Amino acid sequence: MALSVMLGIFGGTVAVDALAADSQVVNLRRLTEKEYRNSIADIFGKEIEVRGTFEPTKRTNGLAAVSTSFLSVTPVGFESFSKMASDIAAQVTAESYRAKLPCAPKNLKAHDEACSSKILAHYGLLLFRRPLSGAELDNRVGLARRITEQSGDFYAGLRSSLSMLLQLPDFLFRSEVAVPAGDGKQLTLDSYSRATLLSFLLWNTTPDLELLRAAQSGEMNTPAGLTKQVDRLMASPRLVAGMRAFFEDMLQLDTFDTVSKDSLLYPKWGSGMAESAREETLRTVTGLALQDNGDIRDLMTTRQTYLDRKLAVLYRVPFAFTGDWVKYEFPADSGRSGILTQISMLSMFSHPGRTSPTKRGVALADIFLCLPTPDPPNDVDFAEVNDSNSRLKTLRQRLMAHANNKVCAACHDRSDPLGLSLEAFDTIGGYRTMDNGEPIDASATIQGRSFIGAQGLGQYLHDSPRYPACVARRLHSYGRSGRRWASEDFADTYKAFQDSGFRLRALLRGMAVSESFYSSAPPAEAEKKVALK
Amino acid sequence: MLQSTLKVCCVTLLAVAGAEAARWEKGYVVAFYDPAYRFGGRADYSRGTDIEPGVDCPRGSTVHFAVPQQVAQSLSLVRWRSPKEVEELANPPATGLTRDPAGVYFHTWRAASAFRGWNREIETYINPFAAEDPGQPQVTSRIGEGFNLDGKVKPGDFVSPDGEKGIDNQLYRAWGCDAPWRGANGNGTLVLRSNDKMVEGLYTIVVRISGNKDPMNDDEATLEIGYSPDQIVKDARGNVGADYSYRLLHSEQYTKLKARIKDGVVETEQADIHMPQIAWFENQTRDAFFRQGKIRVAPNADGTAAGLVGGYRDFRDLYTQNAFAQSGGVQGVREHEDHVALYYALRRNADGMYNPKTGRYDGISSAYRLKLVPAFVVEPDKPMDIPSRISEARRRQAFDVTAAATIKAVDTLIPQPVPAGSGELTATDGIEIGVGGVPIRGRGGRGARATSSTEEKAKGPSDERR
Amino acid sequence: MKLGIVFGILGCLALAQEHPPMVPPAGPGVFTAKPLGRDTFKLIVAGHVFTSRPEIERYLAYRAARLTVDKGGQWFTLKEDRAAGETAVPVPVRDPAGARYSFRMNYFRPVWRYKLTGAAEWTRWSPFSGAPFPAADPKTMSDFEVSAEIVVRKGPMDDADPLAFEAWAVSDLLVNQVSPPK
Repeated sequence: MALSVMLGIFGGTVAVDALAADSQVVNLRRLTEKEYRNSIADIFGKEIEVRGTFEPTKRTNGLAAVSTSFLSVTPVGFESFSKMASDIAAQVTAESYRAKLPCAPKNLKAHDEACSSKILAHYGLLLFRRPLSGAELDNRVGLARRITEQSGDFYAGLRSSLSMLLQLPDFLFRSEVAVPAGDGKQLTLDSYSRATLLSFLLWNTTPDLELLRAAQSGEMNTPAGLTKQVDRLMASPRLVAGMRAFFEDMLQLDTFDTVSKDSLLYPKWGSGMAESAREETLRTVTGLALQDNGDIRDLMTTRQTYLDRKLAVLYRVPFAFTGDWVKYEFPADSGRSGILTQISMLSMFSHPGRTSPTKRGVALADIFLCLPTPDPPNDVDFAEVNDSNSRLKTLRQRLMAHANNKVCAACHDRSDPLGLSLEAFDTIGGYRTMDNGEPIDASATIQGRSFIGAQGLGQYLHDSPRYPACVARRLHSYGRSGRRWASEDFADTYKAFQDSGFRLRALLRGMAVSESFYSSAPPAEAEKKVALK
Repeated sequence: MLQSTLKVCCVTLLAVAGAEAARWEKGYVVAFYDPAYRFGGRADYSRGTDIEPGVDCPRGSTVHFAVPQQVAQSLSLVRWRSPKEVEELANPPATGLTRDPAGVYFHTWRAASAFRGWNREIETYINPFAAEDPGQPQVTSRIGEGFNLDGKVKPGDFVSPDGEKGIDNQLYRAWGCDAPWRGANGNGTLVLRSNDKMVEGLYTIVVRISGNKDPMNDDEATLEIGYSPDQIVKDARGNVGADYSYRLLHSEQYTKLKARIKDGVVETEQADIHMPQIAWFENQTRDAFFRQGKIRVAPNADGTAAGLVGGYRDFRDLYTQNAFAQSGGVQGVREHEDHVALYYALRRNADGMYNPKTGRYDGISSAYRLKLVPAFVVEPDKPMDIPSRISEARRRQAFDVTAAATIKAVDTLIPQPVPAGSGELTATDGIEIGVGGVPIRGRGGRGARATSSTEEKAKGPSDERR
Repeated sequence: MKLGIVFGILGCLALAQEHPPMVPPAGPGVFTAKPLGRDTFKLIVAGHVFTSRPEIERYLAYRAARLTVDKGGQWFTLKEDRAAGETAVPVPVRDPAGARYSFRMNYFRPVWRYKLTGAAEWTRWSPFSGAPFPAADPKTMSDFEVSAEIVVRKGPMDDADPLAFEAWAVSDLLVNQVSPPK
C-alpha cells in the first residue's frame, strides 16, 4: 500500500522510467532525517539550511533502519517534504549561492537551455544517485523554461525544477534496483544501487562523485572495483559517521529523546544530559571499534569511556577540562562494565523515578542477544511491583513475587536476572548501595551461570557467543535494510569476523565486498505489481 | 539516601599511603555569597511600604532618594542651593515634558545628588568628604556574624549567634541597615541580584579543602579559595547543581591557607585572603582583599556547607565598588542608597589597617557568608588567566579611572575633577541639572533622550504635567 | 551645555592643587583654646576684618575638630551658650532613632561679640536670640570674637545628640574651605 500511495502522489512511473528492461525495484526505503540532512549538506554545502520536520520512524526487528522500507509518506509528511524542497531550492538559487552553480545564464531574464540542462543534470545525478534519463531531464528543463518565460527570471525557472527534483521519490526514497545475477535465478543490485547502499552504510550520506563514477563505469559490479571502493570508503574518517548511525540505531539511542526523569527525586538530570549520554556511548563504541580497532566484545567490559562536564556529574567523578570530551577510565572498583553501565543504557530503560530491572533486562536481551520479548499478557496485575510502600522493600523482592506467576515467569526468568544485576545503578545511572533503605543484591543466575553485579553481567555477555553474532546479524540487516535474503551465505563473513578477534572493520569489509550482500530474492508478487505499475 | 551518598562522593580519596595517612580532598562551589549582615526583623515580614524594622535596625531598612521629601532633606544640606531650588529638584517641574514622569524624577534626582559638595563644581561621589553627611543609621543589635579578628573583646564588638564575644564586623555595623543589602535569608535587592548574576555565570568561586588525615579531624589541612573560569550550572530544580567540576585558577583571586579541622568544622589560619568580590556587573568582577582574613567552613548534613570569610577590607575599595557599580547617582537613586552617607559610615566605623601617617584606620572589619555546594575542584591542565571580556573593557576602564580619582581625592582631601572616560560623566546634562540647579525644559538625561521629539509631537501639547 | 564647557568648569575649580590642603597659620591672638575642665575647652576666634559669618564660624568649627584630634578624641559636643531668655531658637531635640550623622553643621552655632568702628563696648549677638545678625552693617565691625565651648570625647559617638560632631569628618569637610580671619 505504501508504494501505491506514494506512486499515486508522484504520478506513477517516474522511478521506473530509468530502469533497464530486465531490472526491477526490489526495495525502497525512505531517507531518515539524518540521511536527508547529510545528503543536502554534501550535495549543496553546509550553508544550505534544512528547515522542517520529519515524520517519525518505527523500530522493526530491533532496527529503525529496517522499518524505513515499510514506511510511506503521509500527506502531511509530503507537505513537509515539499516545503523543505522549495526552501532549499530558493536558497540554492539565491544570489549569494549562484556562483557555486556549474554555470550562469547568458541572460538573467531568459531561458538558457544549455545552462539549465547542465545544472539540472548535475544535481539530478547527485540527488537521484543515478543519472537522469533523457525524458526526465527534458521534463525538468521544460518546466524551468516555462516558468522562466512566465516570470522573466532564469533562476525562478531553475528554482521550480530543483524544487521538483527535491520532492520526487527518486530523491526521498532509496530505491534498490536489481538485475539478474550470473546464474539467472537470483537477482543482484545494479551498480548505482550498490554505490548508494555502500555510501549510506559506511558514511551515512549520499554517494560522492567518485562512487557515482565507479557506478557509471560498471566497476561496482566487478570484485576488484567493488573492493577498491569499499576500501576507499572505509579508510575515510567519515566511516565514523556511518557507524555512529548504525550503533545509534542498534543501541536504540534514538529512543532517548522521549526519556524524562523525576526532577524532585533526581534534580541532577538536567537539560542536555540525555544528549551527552548518547554521545558518550557513541564515542565509546566508535572509539573502541574503529579508532582503537578493538574487540567488540570488550564493549561489555571496558572501563574506558568519554565524558563531558555534565556526565562527570552523574558519574560523580572529576572532569579534567582538557577538551569538551575527555577520555576517562573508571577505577576497577567502580562497578562499571562497558556500555552496559553507561548512563544511556541505564537511564533509557528505567522509569522516571525508579529503575526497572525488567525494562533493562528486556532491552539487553533484545539489543545484545537478539532475543526479543513479547508484550506481557493483558491480565497481569502490576500493583505489587509498582508499590514502593509495600512490605517488600526492594524492587528485587517485588519482582520475585510477581515472577512466581507461571505465565510471567517464562519471560521474566530470562530478562530479570539481566536487569537485576544492574540494580546497583539508579534510574539516572548513579551508583548506589541501598534501595529504599535495604542493601542492594545484584546477584543473578542465567542458564546455570551465576554472577554478581554489572561486571559479572558484562563478562557473561562478553563470553556469550550470542552477543557478537547478534551484532553481526544487526549490522547485516541494517545494511540490507529490509531487502529479502536470496542466500543465507553469511558463514564466511562471520568466520572472518571471528578470526579477526571480533573486529568491526573485518565484519564490515567482509560483508561489503561479498557478492551475497548485494543479492536479492525477487520481490513478492504483490509488491512487484505495484512497483512496476 | 541521596544526601548520604552526596556526602560520600565529595570526599575523594586520592592516594592511600598507609593506614593512617590518606590524602583526601573536598571541593565546593559557592552557590550564595552575601555580606554577613544579620537581619533582625521578622523573616515573614511582608514587603510593601513597610521597611522591616528589627533589632538590627529599629527604624527598618534605610532608604534614600525614594520620595521627594527625602531628596529635599538631602539637598537642603547643600548650602549653595536655595530652598526654591531644592524644592524644584525634589519635585521636578516637568511641565511640558512628554516623557515618563518617573524618568524625569529619576534623572533629576540622580544628577542633583551628584552635586552636593561645598561648591557647585565638586562632583560628590568622587569627593564624598566634601559634602555634608546625609546620615546612615547604624546597626544597633549586639549579635553579629564574623570573626574576632584582633583577638580582643571591645565595647563595640558583636557577640556571635553561638555566643563568641569580640566579633569584629564593623561593616555590618556601618552598612547593615542599607536597604538593598538588608533582608531575611538573602532577600535584599542587591543580594538577590548579585547572586542571580553569579549563578547565571558572571563569575564562579570554588573552595578546596584537603589533608592527609581524617577529613573530620585534621590539624594540618589546607583550604584554597579562588576564581574558577567554569560557569555554575543549575540542576533540574533550578538550584546550583552538585558534583560539577570546576577549575581553580591560581590567579590574583586565589588564596591557599593552612587550616585545622575539628569535628568536621574547618577553620583557617589568619592571613591575607584574595578571592572574587561580590559583583553584578562584569566590570565589578575583581579581587576582594581581606587583611588578617580567616575562613570557616561548617558542613551540613545534606553534603552542602556553610562558609564564612572575614577580614579587614580597605574602606576605599568597599566605597568605590559599591558606589560606582553604575554611576553614583544612578546606583543611589535606583537602589535607594546614599553613597555619601555610606562613606561617612565606613570611615566612622573603620577599625583596622591603621595608617600611622594619617593616624586613622583605612580598613574595616567585615564578614561574608558563603553557601557551599559539593563540587569537584580540579587544577587547570595549563596555566590560565582570569578571562576578560573585550566588550566590557570600556566600562572596566571607566570604573578604574573613577575609582582612581576617588581614592586620590580621599587620600589627599583635594577634591578631584571627574576624569575623562568616567562613568560619572555618562550624562553631561546631569551636570547641567546638578550644577545649574533646576531641570531644564526638554532635557531630562540620558534615558529621557531615547524618547525622541517625534514622540513629543505625536503626543502633542495637551500632554502637560503639573 | 557642551562637554567642553563642562570640562572647563571642572578645570577652573580650586581642584588643581597638587599638595594636600593646608589651612594657613593664624596670626597671633586669632585663635585661643582655654581649658575649663579636663575635656572642656572654650574656643575663641578673634579678628578685625569681617568677611562673612559662615566663613568665620567654619574656621572655628575646623579648629574645634582639630583640637579634638590633637587631644586624642574622636568627637566633640558643643555646649550651646544660651543666656537667660535666649529661647527664640529652640534647643535641638535628641533624635533617639534618627539617621546617624557624623555631624550636623547647622547645629554648630557659636556666639558672637563685636565692636563697631569707634565703639568702646562689646555687643553680644546670640544665634538663639532671634535677633538678626548683627543689627548694624557687619562691614563696620572693627573687632569680633566668636566663641564656642566644647567637650572633647572619645569612643563611639552619641548618635542621638544633634550637638555631637565627629572630629575627622568635620575636619575633612572644612579643610579646603577655611582660613583664619585677620
